[in-house]
Amino acid sequence: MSPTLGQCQALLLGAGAACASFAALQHARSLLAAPAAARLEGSALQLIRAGFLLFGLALAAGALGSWRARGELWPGDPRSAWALIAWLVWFIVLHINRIKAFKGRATAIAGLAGWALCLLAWLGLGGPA
Amino acid sequence: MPEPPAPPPSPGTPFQESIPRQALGLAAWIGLWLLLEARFRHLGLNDRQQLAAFLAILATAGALAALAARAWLFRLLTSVRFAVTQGLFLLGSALLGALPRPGPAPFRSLWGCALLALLAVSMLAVSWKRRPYTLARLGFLLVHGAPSLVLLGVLWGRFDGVRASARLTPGVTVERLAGGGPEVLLPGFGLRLEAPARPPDPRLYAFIPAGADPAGAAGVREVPPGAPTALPGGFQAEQLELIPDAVETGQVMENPSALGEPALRVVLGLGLPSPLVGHLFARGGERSRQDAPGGRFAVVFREAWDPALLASLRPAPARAETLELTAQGRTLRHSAQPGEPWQLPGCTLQVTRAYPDFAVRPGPGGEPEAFSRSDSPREPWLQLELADGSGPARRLLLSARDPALSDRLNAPHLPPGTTLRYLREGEETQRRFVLFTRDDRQVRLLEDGRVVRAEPLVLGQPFIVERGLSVTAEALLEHTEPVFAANPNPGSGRPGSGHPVVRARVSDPRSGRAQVCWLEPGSRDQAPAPVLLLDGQVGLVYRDRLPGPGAPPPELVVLDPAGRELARKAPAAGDPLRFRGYRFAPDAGAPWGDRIQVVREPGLGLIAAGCACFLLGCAWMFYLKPVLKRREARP
Repeated sequence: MSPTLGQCQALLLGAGAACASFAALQHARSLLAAPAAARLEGSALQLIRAGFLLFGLALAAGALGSWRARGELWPGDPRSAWALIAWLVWFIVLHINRIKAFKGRATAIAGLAGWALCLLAWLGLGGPA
Repeated sequence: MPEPPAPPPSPGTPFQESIPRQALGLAAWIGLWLLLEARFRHLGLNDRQQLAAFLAILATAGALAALAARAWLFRLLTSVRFAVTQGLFLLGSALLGALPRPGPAPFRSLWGCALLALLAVSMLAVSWKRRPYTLARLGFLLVHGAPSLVLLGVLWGRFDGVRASARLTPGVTVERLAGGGPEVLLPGFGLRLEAPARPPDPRLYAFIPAGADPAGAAGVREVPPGAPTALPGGFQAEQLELIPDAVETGQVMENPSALGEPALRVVLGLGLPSPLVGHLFARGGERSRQDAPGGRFAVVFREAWDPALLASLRPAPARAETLELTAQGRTLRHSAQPGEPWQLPGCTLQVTRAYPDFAVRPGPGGEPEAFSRSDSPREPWLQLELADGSGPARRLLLSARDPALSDRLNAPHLPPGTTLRYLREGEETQRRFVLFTRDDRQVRLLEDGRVVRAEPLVLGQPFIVERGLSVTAEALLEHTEPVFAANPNPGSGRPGSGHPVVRARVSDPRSGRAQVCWLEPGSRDQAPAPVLLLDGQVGLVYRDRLPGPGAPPPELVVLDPAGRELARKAPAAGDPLRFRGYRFAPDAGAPWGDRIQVVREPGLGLIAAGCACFLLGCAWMFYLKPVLKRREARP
């Protein structure tokens, strides 16, 4: 991958991870039965949407860089693989939030799982390019 | 207050609302495609046929399901719970793809495509459900239409795409790329690798083979003379001795555990101060025969006596004499009779004279002059003229017995990568053979296709061919193993003209094991095969210097069938040569830099459009839609 696209992907993943971290904080507070849980969940979802979009951009940057460098559309590196996994978890979070029975605790737990996975993608397996 | 956990679905919950039952259904859907994929492979269907069958089955199943239960299916496909279930399965597939495992990536397999197809259909159904379409819903439509575009791109790429890796020989134009994957036929153009001209510069390289280091991070390291070079995994490689101009003194050794064919070590007594020693291998071919100098006799070793050998070991004239021209990956043949011009693209080749027993003597003016010593075809040579209209015709000389010598003589007059051969098919010039046979341990003297004498094969006892000529079988090796060795060439005079060899050692300091071997470089066009040591854990190769920083890289040239240049570039990893939808780049997985990766991805535009639609749709849905809705709500 060319350094520019690699740095771009890392930057986007970092921004996504930051959004996810703030969202996770809101989810954790809502799980601890803090007042105005619904409001916290709403702001957490806003942050997850931003993270979802940023991770999507990061995956696209990774695919573009991989195509330029190796002629492969999928980078195949652990960072991209775990970014896709975290992104799919957020896809699930954004959808289960629309099911009444899963609002609240289930959404918060899934959001926290997505946060852990995106940190894994950002710090644990890939790190900054 | 946190909400109570979701109650488990009751037995009466419809399928569209039950995530566990949907998960079972999706598992069955994937299992069905796994079975079909295995069946397709069993039937020997290629990628394209598998995909055609996949689309046919998918279309039939979709049509039948739509006819049988359209409303039920529509409710399922537009259910948010089904989207969650699909998300969980996609998550599982991505986890599977992240694990190191054999086989194709999940989304390149048929079951992965089937999962994507279901997702795409679901999203299209959801888009249909969200009618009427307003500007605020554009983002939703873009997001939910994107997977269909991506899927179409993936399927198109799988149906009509190309992904291969091929090794190119410098100077040779190829229209078919083979090796490292399926053969690729380039449509209407050829490809040639042009390496920059520079003197040979062989170096010793060590590497960890891919099998021993699955991560492939070991790479290739140059082993300079001097101190040992550390290799990944704790191994060491060391250059022990370099002989710039060597004479090979290779031997064949008996090794009961080797798989080599039986061989006979013979000594030819020819009345010379030092007898000739050679090894004859039992299973036919050129290695089973040795000709004594001067055409006096030949020695042959065979597994078993066969009377049919009498017909082949006797003098025979050439059935046909032909010229063989190999250029740009093509081989052409023409009669070698003098006086018949051979019209070739851009030039004419004509045999002007034939010398059955070629020799050279000083001519009247002191210039060397070719002549034939006799009419017997001992050293058949041809003299040819090559005319290409650019000047006077050039003279070529071709030897039937020593093609390598002809190549050297004619190299200045032929384009790089072109070889010209003089072939005499079916010719046998020897009339006397000494035939050793392994099964009956006999030695026979054959003259003009008749056995004139037969004796038991006794090791160490000379077999007299005639006065002053003898053959002695010194040893019969049942399991042979070639052992390479070399000494400095005592007659070496010109620096840089010799045949360099290097002796190297690899060692494993942890176990104390070490192995030593001799290596010789291949030609510029043909690198030697690497030698694997320490049970295949370390590889060594002595080959021409790899292109490094500062060295001019080889260029790829695209040519049309008439040989006109269409494109030229020195491709790099991130800067490939692109031509008519093909992408040619150095193969990053090949350490020696002589392989190119060929990729054609016709669905790339659709995939890129799908990704762009998805991201744009997300941004629209998350950030623009609320603004638009607020505007719509205003009175």
